[in-house]
Amino acid sequence: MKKVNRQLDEVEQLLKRARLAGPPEELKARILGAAVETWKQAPAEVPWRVPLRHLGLSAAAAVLIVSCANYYSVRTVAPWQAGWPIAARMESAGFEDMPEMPYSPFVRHLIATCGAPARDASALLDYIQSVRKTLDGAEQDNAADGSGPSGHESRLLPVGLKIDSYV
Amino acid sequence: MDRRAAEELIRAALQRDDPAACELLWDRYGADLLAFLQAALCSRHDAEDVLQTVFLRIVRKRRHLAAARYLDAYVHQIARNEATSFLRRRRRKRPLESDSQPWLVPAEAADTSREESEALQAALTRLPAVQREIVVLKTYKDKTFREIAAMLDLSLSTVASRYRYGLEKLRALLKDPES
Repeated sequence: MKKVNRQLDEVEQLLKRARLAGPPEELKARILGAAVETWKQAPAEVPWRVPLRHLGLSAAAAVLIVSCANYYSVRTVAPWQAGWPIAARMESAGFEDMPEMPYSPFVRHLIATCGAPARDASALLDYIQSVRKTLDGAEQDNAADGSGPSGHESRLLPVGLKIDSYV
Repeated sequence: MDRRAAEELIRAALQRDDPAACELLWDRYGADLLAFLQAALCSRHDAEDVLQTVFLRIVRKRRHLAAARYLDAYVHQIARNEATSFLRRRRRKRPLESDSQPWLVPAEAADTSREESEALQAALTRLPAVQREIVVLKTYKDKTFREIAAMLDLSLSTVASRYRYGLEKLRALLKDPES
């Protein structure tokens, strides 16, 4: 350790055999001349404007960041919101627009009486398909038994409802 | 002049918006900044150019300087930033190399030959910049570790260790310049 310190001291002594080249006088005159010239040309910024400008910039940056975050947040979450794209599509579609809707008067009656949501068209379609199958099945049974449609009461239709009045 | 008194004079001149502050700033910081820039850039010509840029930036930011809590730290921070920017621009054009004008010259008191000072300069140029700056400020400007730590915004222990590593590397370079 002492040997190392002694060696480092020798290096320091060696370094001190030289010196830094000092600034020439003309350098001082050149730099001070340029500095004073700049001083006169560029007025100093008023102190209170500096923090005010910083505040304005910070506020603008904050608004921008929050706006971007809101926009991308809404855009990202939107597909997972309940019924958003389906509802948007179904808003413009009415039952009159659906081609070849079987038993359309019957469907309207169902909506009116059962209070089914107008937008839940896919569930309604499924229900209609199941009703249709049941009715087809009932008709086939009737044909096999020999009893006509007038003597058969559908279990699915409300009591007293005649389907003929809706055709 | 006492360091604190000099700073007070400078602040007062800056607050009055008096151009005489330029000369006060030169008297207080000129030599130290030039030494630092010579060590950082290893070129006397580049150090003088950057020193002018530093002073112009100080003049433009004189209001900030007047309000700064630590004048020394603010001025040296400007010098460090300008040196870093200059090095970045220069490295794109050409690698670090010694200037034709030596920034290390023989000391008057010692009978040092020019070749010896050139060898010292070449060895210092090969040191990492962070070590070279500290070795130059300690050796040639007689700064204490505490003053160097304040100038370079480093801890005391970092300055001391870098100084030691710098001297060790210099010893190896001076012993075997080809390494």
